Amino acid sequence: MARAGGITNAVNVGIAVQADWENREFISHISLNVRRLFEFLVQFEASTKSKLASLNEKLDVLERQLELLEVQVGTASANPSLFTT
Amino acid sequence: MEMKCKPSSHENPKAEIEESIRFDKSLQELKELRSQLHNAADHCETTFLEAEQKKDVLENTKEYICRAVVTVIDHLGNVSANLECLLSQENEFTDAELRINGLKQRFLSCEQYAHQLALTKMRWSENFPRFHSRYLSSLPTLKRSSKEKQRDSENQSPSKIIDKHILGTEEDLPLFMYTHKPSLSKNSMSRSAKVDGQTNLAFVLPVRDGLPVLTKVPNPTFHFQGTPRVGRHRKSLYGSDILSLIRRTKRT
Repeated sequence: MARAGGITNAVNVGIAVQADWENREFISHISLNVRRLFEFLVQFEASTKSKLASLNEKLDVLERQLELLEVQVGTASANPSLFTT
Repeated sequence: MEMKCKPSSHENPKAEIEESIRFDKSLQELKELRSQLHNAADHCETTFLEAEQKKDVLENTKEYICRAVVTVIDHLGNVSANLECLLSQENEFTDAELRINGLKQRFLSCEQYAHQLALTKMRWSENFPRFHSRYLSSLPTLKRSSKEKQRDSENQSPSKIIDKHILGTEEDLPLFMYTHKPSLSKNSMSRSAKVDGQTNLAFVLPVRDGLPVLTKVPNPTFHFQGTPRVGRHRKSLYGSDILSLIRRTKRT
């Protein structure tokens, strides 16, 4: 009986150790996926920032060109004698 | 969850508005999922602590974690795809750039037109009155009667007289038609018009060696010729005073 109890205990310990290893494997899988998700988020942030920066630069250029055109048109309209024959 | 990115959405503003609404909706769902996951984690923890069969609770929790991670990844993919779709639509920027370039081109053409107008104002007019052949006279036909000469001398303006003084012996020069010369001044034109008394008359100038002699401008300091004489006279007076003073001193 004692031998049977010792074997049962050993089997239980083995089952517990296996379950523990399975849990560890699951946790490692989850942590790995979370890390991948984090890495994707970092890359996405970088790419989005660069795209937004380029868009902002383009908008700045367009805004400056528009301001320049406004000033030129204002100067030309303030001096209408240039276009009178 | 839909992830549609229509490339031709810049042509339809309604589609663009729908895309932005979709992005906002997916972002809001992701924010709500965070609170749901927090609540689920609390529930799993309490269930695990209170349950007798902890293995079943653990398995249920594992399964829920797997589904939650998949759901989070799905939501993140949806949000990122919508944002990417919104950012990749740069056609409007190129359209705006093209419009601005067109405006620039128009303004440059207007500027060139204005410069052209200004140049035409400064340029010699092509509609300048032409000579008629009857107003052209050769050298032998210049002989006129003394009455005509007297009448002409009476009608001439003082400036014309000054020109005659300057020209000297150039009165007998033949008159030829003076064609387009932009260097002519307006004074000469008005002078000729006054002399002839008609507006449509030809502009006749005496020409020698192919060059018009009227280009010589009369001296504007003509009226100040009397002033140096006064100075000279004063100098002579001073000189005579000094001489008389010297003579007086010699006498004494």
